[in-house]
This record gives sequence, C-alpha cells and structure tokens, in this order.
Amino acid sequence: MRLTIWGCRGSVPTPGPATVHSGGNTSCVEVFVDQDCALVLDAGTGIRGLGEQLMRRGCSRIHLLLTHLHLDHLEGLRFFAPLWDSRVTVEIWGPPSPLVSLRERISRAFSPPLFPLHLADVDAQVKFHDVPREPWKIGGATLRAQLVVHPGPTVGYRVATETASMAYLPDHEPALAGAIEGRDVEWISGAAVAADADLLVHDAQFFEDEYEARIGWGHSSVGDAVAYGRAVGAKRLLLFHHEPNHSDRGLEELEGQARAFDGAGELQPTLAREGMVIDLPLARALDKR
Amino acid sequence: MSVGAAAGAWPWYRFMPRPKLGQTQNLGRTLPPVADTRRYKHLVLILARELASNLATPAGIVDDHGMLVFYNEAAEAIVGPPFSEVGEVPMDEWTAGFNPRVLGSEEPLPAEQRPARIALDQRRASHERYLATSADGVDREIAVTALPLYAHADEFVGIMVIFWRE
Repeated sequence: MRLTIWGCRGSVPTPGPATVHSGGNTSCVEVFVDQDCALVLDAGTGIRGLGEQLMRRGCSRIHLLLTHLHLDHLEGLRFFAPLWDSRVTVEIWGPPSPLVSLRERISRAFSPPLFPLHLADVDAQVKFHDVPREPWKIGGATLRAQLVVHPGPTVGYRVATETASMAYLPDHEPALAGAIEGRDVEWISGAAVAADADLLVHDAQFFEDEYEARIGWGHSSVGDAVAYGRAVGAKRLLLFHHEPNHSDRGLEELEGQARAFDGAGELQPTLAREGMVIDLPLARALDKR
Repeated sequence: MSVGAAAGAWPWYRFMPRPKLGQTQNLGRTLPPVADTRRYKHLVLILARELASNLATPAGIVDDHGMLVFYNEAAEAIVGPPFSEVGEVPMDEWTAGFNPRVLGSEEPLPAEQRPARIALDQRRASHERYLATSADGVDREIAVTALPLYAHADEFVGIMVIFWRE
C-alpha cells in the first residue's frame, strides 16, 4: 500500500510563500493498492493534480471516498480530469444523509451559480454509493467507514490490505464525545476504523490555546490528536488538515509540540506535506535505514 | 523541529516524484484484524453514553441487538454494582433480575410490554410504570421511559432507557 498526499490543508486553500513546504491544497490522498483501480480519499483542491497524473497513468476505474461534503473536501472534484473523460468510471462513496441522496448533494456543486456545468454534463460514468455499515472490498483492499464526531454526516475510513492498514480521519473532534485518555477503545469515536492502524492520518488543526476558543468546530488540537493516536493503538501519526493561518514555520512548531506530547511513545507524529509518499507496512521503510 | 531531526526510524516517508508503480512487496505479515463490527460502538451510542454519564437520573444504553452496553452511576442505586463490574449483558436477562410486575396485580410484566422491549422491537418511544425489586431487595414502584436512537439515514442503532423512581 502506498499513500501519496496531494492536499493536506484544512478549510480553504492557502497557496503562497508561507506554505510552500507544507502545501496549500485542501484534503486529497491517494491510496495505491493495486493496478486495477485508484482509491482516492476526498476531493479537495489537491485532487486536480492527482487527476492529471491518473490520466497519464491511463487509470480508467476510480473510487473516490468522501469523508463529508464540506467544501474543502469537495471543491476540487469539478476540476478532476478523469471526470471529464468518457472512458473512465468514477464511483463516489460518501456518508448517508436522512434527507438528500449523495448524488443530489454533490450535484449542488455542479450547478449555477457555483459552476457553469451540471452533473449530467460529466462525461465519465459516475456511480454514487452511501458507505455501508459493514466492511466492503474494492480490489485488493478491505474498506470500512464509521461516522465520527464532526458537524454534519461525516465518516472516517480504514483501508486495509493483507499486509498493511491505514486510517483517515481528516476532520474529527473526538474530545467532544468525552475524554480520550482512559476510555475503553470501543467507546472512542472512530475507533472502528483507527484501531491498531499502521498509519493514522488525523486532524491536528489547532494548537492547544487555539482549540480552547474553537471547541465544537469539529477539529482537534495537536494534543488531542496525539492522545487519540495513542488511545486507538495507531503505530504512526500523520498530522493533517492544517489550519490555514499556520505557515510552514508555525506547522513545524506544531509538529514539535506533537512529539513532545508523544514523549517516549512510538507514534512519531509527523506533519503531512504535499508530495509526501508513504509505503506501508512501515517495516519496509524501516529496514532501509 | 525540522523533518528528519529525530533519531531512529526517521524518515518513514519520502517525496514525489514517485517510483514505478506495482512494486509494493508482501512481507508475509498476517492480515490485520478488520475491526470487529460489534465491538466498536456506533457514534450515536458513544454520544448517548456521554449524555447518560452526565445525568443524575438512572439511565442505560442498549444496542440494536438488545445488549445492555452501559448504565450510569445514578442507575447503580437501583441495580447495585457499577457497570464496569457487570459488563455487557442481554437486556432481557438483566431486566428479569428485577422481577418486573404489573402494578396492583403483581403479575409478572411480560417482556413485550416492557418499555425497553417495545422501543427495541417497535422502534418507538414507550413509557410504563411497574413494580420492580431493586438490588437492595426492596420492592419499588418505578417508571421507565425508553426511546429509540437513530443515526443518519434513519439507521436504528439502539435505545436509551431512563428509570424514574415514583
């Protein structure tokens, strides 16, 4: 399994000299499992660059897994090149809603005045699925989704193969559902997807003092992200969904705080950065050192 | 702290341009366990438990399979030991331990007439008064309110049961 980070910024794209190292595109991660199809997590602005690469690779079958439909996780979809190619099939998975289907909700982004074209104008074969409650398979991967604490219907994902597993919870405020430390793991939000993952990609948007003024916004402090990673038994922690106001320098400070919170732990909290590539299982990388 | 500053296993990542595809290697590790569907609680149950934990009114949480998965400290006054000692138990088995009876006649209250069973089977709120023997052996008249818990897309995930002492 190979992860490539195409966008890791939260809330709104932040291009510019202050973010060249961490990147300014919003959430998008590719999980490469096998040649048959592409797995894509979220459709933030990072998906535009991924789309171009998928076209160069001749990829014709794509599964797009949306955690939720906030704009920073959806706004790149309209500029996702495979969507405008009739040879491509795109299957879009997302959280269920009690009132409006996934297709209807996404179609709002494909309509005037937000966009000149409609979803019906898309050339690719597009299928929509509410995520199932039980695990399901796509190619060589077993996937699982679980509702997590974030405003509106939002899920986290687990992608597992025979050799590795990763969990993706880019927008998550588990502290809102009670203390993280000292709680049985089965009672922690998102644990069904995050438990014992080789790599946990998790929301760490705020410093502790910033979080105090933003409780309930649906995002985590860096301290809570580390506490969460430890509580669910993750092996590594990738700090994700960077606050738009945080420059590269600020994010390095945040990463340092995360490592201080982890202390002698083994999470090795690390900032997600655009262009980062991670091969799982990690043992392979460790053997190289 | 900058990338690569830590000792040991750093870095465990690299950057694009990516190498040729299809080179992932099976190291022969065993299949990571797929998270147990029943073990991990649905988010709505997690939030319901958090609410119940902060109530001074006795309350319990039952999952969609009829398993009592939590009761709060206030409920211990009625049921005795804390939940951490009792653990998860089938709701009907747990309820039967209190010998629920019809008020007045003292006839056993059939399971299908108990509010929790109604909420679980019919997925609607229910309220009933009956006689029960609490953990201290004293017969008490109690009222029970049970309500279904739904997640997004009308997914039924369990019930919350609240006990009122008359």
